[in-house]
Amino acid sequence: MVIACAIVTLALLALGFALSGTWLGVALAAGVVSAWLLGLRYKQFNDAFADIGLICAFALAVAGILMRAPALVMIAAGTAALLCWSFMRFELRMAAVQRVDHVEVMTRGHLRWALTASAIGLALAGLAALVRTDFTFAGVFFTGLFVTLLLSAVIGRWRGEK
Amino acid sequence: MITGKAAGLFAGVIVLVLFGLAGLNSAVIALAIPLLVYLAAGFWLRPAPPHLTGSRALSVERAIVGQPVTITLKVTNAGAPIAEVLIEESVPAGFEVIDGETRLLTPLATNETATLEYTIRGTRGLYRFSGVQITASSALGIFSRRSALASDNQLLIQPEAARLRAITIRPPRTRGFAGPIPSRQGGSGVDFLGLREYQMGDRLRWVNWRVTARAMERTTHGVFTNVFEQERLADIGIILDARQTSDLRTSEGALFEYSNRAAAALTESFLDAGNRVGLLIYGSGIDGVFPGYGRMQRDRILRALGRAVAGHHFVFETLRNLPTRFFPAQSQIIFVSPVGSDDPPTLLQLRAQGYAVMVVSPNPIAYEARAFADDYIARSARRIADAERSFNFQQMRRAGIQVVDWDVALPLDAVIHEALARQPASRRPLVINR
Repeated sequence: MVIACAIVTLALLALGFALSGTWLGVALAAGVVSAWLLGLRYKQFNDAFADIGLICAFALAVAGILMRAPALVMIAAGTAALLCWSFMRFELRMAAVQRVDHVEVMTRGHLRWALTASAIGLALAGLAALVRTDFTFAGVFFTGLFVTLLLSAVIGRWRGEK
Repeated sequence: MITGKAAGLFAGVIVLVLFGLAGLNSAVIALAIPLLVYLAAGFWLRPAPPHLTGSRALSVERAIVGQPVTITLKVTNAGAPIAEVLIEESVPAGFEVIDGETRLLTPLATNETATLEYTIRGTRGLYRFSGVQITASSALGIFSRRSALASDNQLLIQPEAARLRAITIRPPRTRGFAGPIPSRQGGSGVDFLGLREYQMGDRLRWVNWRVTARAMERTTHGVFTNVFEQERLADIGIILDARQTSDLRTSEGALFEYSNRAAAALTESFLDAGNRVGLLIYGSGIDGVFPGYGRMQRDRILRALGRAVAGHHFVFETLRNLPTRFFPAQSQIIFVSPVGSDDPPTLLQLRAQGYAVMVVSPNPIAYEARAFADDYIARSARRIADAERSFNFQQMRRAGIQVVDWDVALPLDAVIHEALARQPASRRPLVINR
C-alpha cells in the first residue's frame, strides 16, 4: 500500500508539473518520492523520513499550485501523500512492537478510516478549489480567525475531557 | 493525549491556511482540507479513557540464578472497544528476556483479554515488577491515551548453592540432640574417645577384651569398656561480610557474589546435616536470620542471601561492632569474607571468647590479578599482597581458626576439603601469644 500510494503521489505531482511545463518540478518530485521510499530502509530514521517526506510532498504540491499546475491534481497528490504517510506510520507502529495480534483486523480498520478520511478530504478540497468567492481583507482575516478559534476550541474541549 | 503527529498535522493545516490567506490563493487553503479532515477523523475516533484490568502471574516466586522464570501478563478490557492497544511490560534491570515478548500491540474488544507471556533469567537479587504501561490509540493512531496498570509482583533470585560434602567442625559446645558433630563427651557414638571400668548396663560388645586381659594379668580383676564420643548437633552462625570494602568489582563481576554463593552452600550443607544455623549479614547495616533448623530456615536464609547487597556504613567499617551475642556461646562461627588487614584481631577475639571460628575467604588478590596484565609491577604488587594475606592467615591458624583461602576459579567443595584436611579442627584450648 505504501509503495502504491507513493507511486500515485509521484505520478500526480509529475503530471501537475508536466502540465504546467515545469520539468524541474517533475525531477524534484521523482527525487523526493524516491528518497522518501529509500529512507524507510534505514530503521533509525524511519519515523523522521515519513514526516519529512510528507512535508516535502506538500511543499511540492504548494509549489505546483503557485506555478499554475492544475490545483485539483496537486490536491490529489497531497491527499495521496497523506495516505502514504498514514500507511507508513501504521507499518512502523507494527514493526516497532515484537508481537502484533489480529493484524488483519487492525489493518482493515486503519485502511477503512484512512481511505474514508482521505476521500472526504479530497472531495471537500476539490469542491473548495472549484468554488470561487471574492474575499475582502476583513473576510480573509475573520475567516482565518474563525478557523483558528474553531480548531483551538475543539482541541481545548478534548483536553478538558481528558 | 495529542501525539506529536496530530500536533504536526495541525501545524501543517495552520501553515497552509495562513500561506493561502497571505497569497490569497484558495487552492493552497484547499490543500489543507485533506489534512484537516484526517485530523478531525482522528479526533472523532479518539479512544475513550480505557477501563483495563490486569494481572501478572509468575511461574515461581523464588528462583536460583540462571533459572528461567515464566511470566504471564493478562490485560482485560472492561470498557469500550479499543482499536489499538500497546501493552508494554517493564522488565527490571538485571533480567534477560530469553523467550517471548514484553510488548504487544493488539485491538481489544469489550471483555476481551490479551495475554503476554515471556521467560526471563536474572542475576541474584530481590526484584519488584511495577505497573504495566498501556497506550490506547485510535485506528488512525494520531490520538492516544497512556495509562499504567497497577500490578505489583516480587521475584527473588537466590544464589546458586553448590553441593558440599560434610565439613568437619568441632565447636566447644554442641546441642542435646544426636547429630554428626563430635561433642567431646563420652557416650554412644562411632569414634573412640577412651576407656573406663565396666559399669552395670554397659553392652558386652563395648568391652575392650585386650585391655581387660592385660589388666587381669596385673591386678587379677577389672573389666574395661570402650567409651565413644557422642555425636550431636551444633549451633552454627554464618557471618557474611557485605561491607563495601569487601565487594571487589572487576570486569568479570563482583567478589561479593562468590561470598554470597559460599554462604548459601555452607547453609545448605550444615542444615542438611541437621544443625541449627543462623545468618548475619554485616555491611551497610545488620541483617540476619536467627538460628533455626530445617527447610523453613533454609528458605529464610536463602531469602536473606538473595536480597543481600554490599554497602557502606561508618559504624560497620571494621568488624569491631560485630554483634557476637547474636550467636550462642561457644558455638561454631563461619566468617565468609575476603578478610581485610584490620579483620584478624576481631576474629582472634571471637576465638578468645570461646567460639570455634572458621574463615572462608574468597581470595581478592587472585581475583583482581586476573583483570591486570601479567607484568613486573603487577607481579610485585601481588607478591606483597599475598605475603600480607599469608601472614594474617598464619596468625589466625596459630590461634586455632580454620582458614579456607578460596581462589574462586576453583570449586569451593574441593578447596574446603583440601584446606581443612591440613588443619584439623583443634581440640586444644586457645593460647594467644601477646
